[in-house]
Amino acid sequence: MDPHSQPSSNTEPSSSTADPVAPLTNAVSSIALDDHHHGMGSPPLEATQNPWSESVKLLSANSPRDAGSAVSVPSDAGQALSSEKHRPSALDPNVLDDSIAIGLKSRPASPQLSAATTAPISSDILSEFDPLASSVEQEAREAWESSESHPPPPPPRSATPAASDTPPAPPNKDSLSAPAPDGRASPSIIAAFPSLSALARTFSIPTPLRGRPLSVDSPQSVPSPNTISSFASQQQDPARPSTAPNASSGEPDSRGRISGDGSPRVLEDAAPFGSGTRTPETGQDGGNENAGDPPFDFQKFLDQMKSKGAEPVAKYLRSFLSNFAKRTFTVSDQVKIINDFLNFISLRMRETDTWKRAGDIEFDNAMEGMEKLVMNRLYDFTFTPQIARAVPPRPITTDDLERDRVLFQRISLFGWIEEKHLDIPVGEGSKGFLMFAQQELLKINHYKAPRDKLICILNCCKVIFGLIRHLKKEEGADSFVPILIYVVLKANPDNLLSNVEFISRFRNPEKLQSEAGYYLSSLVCIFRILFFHTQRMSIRWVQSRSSRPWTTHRYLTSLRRSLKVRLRKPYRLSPSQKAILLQYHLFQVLAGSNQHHSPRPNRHHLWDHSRNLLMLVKNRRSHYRFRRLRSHRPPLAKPSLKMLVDYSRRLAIPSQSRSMPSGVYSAKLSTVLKASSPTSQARLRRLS
Amino acid sequence: MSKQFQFKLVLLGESAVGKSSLVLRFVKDQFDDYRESTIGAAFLTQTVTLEDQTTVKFEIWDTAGQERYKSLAPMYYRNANCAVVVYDITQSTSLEKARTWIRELQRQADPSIVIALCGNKSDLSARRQVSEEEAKKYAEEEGLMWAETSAKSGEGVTEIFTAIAKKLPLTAAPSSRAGAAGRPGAAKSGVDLNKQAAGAGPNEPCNC
Repeated sequence: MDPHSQPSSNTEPSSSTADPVAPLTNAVSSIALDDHHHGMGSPPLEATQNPWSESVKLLSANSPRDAGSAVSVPSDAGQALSSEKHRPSALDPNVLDDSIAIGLKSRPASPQLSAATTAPISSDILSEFDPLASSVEQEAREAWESSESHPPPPPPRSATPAASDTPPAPPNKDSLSAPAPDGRASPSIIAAFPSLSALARTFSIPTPLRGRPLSVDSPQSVPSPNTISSFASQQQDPARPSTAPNASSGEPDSRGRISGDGSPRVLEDAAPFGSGTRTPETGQDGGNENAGDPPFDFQKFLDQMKSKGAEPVAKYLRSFLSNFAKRTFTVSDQVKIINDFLNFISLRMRETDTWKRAGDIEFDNAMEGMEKLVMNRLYDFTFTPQIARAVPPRPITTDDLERDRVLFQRISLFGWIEEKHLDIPVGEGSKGFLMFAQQELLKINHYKAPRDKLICILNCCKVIFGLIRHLKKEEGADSFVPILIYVVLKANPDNLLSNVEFISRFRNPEKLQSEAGYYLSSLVCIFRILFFHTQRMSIRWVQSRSSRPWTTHRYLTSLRRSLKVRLRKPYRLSPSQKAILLQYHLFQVLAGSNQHHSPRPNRHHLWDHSRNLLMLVKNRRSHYRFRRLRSHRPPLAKPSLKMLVDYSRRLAIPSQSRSMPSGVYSAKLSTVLKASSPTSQARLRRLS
Repeated sequence: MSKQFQFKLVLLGESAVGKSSLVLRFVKDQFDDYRESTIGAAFLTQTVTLEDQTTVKFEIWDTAGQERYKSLAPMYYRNANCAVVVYDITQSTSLEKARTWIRELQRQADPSIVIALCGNKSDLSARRQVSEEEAKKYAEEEGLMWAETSAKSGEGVTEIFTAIAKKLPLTAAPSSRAGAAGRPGAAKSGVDLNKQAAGAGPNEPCNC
């Protein structure tokens, strides 16, 4: 413990601003390691991300072992807190050490990272970024311990080989759609009961394996080699141009690992600026591995908790956890209770021998660990989707799920969107970055602790900045926000909103300041676009200013009502029409960037567009696709939708339709509705 | 004994006026080994030391300047202590845009917010479309700080930020949160989805 504590103190000197960063990298690394050592989460990802790299193979080699251990771990995890504390440690020596050792070896194995880069690294650089080396071990253990914290660790072995072997062939669309299911699958895996969850995990392993690796793989493998190598070379150019070739081989490594332990690495790569940063970045990776001062060290915290001095703290914690589970609280109460407890326990912790003399940094680490531990244990009570999954049903006191659904649906409607619609610069390898960012975001459902979830978001942002830098665009919000929107739209993780809510509720508010706060706010901004802005921009008559989230139902109802009024024509929209109209509005907001300048769409405008869209849909015979839009993630056919978009864009303006008799509408409508349900046809008949 | 203050600074202005470059210049000029922000250039921090050894740390929040993201700005300038509104002296339209930003800030941001109007690209004064007098007059009318800067040459960049730091009320203690390992109670000052959502209504400037 001691040896580790000191390095950690070095690493986290930075104050509030720096905090987010350090945790980020740390957590990332720890997370990665977690996965890695589980044999679940990261290995597949790594493999998928850089199938070309050697490290993958190494990892895969690890994975079998890990896998075995991983299976056993979950069961432990499910058990009581005390068991959680003790068990893992017992397990650690055998299993972990091996895997760790392998992991360590594998790392140096990755070409240039270790040797070449290490030399020039300055200590502060090292401290900035996550040191992997020494921390590897703890993190691995932590991973173990926290295995419980990670919903479904992806299965290592089959995944990795498959990933590496799999041809990069799968098209992007597939890959896009694929990851999401994974994400969804993972959380669901977690069952309310420990035993169940363990069971579930063991079973679940296969799914993530297949789905995720493939999904990740396809996108990543195809474009990323170029990307990465170019990216790497670009970054390394100044310092060591000679390594560029290596970089292609080596960087991918680091890159690939990102998801695993590598995430810090990627982040570093992506780290925006400072020429200084660039060169050492890879070096830092290597250096980190060697130097290893872990900024966040969960395992260390757990070890400390097991120590004699921490017994009272453990007792408090146990009683708090059990009491918390006994009653149901509203969300705001939960926030308050947990916050109060953490405040309280921090004081108690200060009094114990274990932390009495701990430095601020070490103590901060302990508090981070405590937060993570508590939130891991209370995940089933605090994370809304998880509450919903509880086997003896628990009351849900928030509308998170509803909003999740709406958000998910809204985002689903943007399946057709492309970079150009958001003015996102496209360059060589940008696809790879984008996929990568999506993957990072999708990982949010793989972690329980708010801290880890937050890190997923920050990682995603980091990758985006990596892309911006790769494309040599001006860094800043101007280029960042559109890409973030794009990534969110494409990734569309399950329960994204719940996750963000969860973070903002239960993450230490202090750590939500400054940088983390900025990026979280940016994400929230995007939700806002999707929730509020959409209607306000294009549909004036939806005047409700309430802060209530718009459900799709409410939205469509108001839309229908307003259409009714506006057109003075009693008819009902079929589901497919609703979907089309909805799509149209969303399209207007994001694709039709100049809404502010164009006259507010009036009924003619709207009707014209939707009519034409309907016609087009009919002609395209993709009508049924639209019906599916209503219910779930639509298998959007890109070409047809793209056509829709282009078509509707070319369509102009209302003036001539103003005089169009209503009969024409219904006539047009009828042609469309022929394809739809009998009831709507009947309705149409009634109308005419 | 030097005092430490921390302020949130939001950066507004049309896209391509050089907001980001301006800040990058400010942030990187003094510290070559800049490494505090590891994620990206949309959020940066920089510390200014005043004559009396007071240090003022700026947390700089960049915003997307494109028109279509305009409605996101309120989320960014919420709780901001100061704002830098940037225009491009070679684009008269960018000043118009800056005016709308300033109006919005005056209407909706914290009333005590310190606003600086910043004419960027002063190195391109040959193509100037916005005269110094015009901008200055406007700034005086509105009670804003004003300066012309060049992110390219670095001219005037540090000065404007230092001037802002001087003008900020250094009596308040927004830096109180720095340090302390504990959690500051249940009062959350982080990101609040609901609050933003609620704020979206009345704050929303655009109805079209």
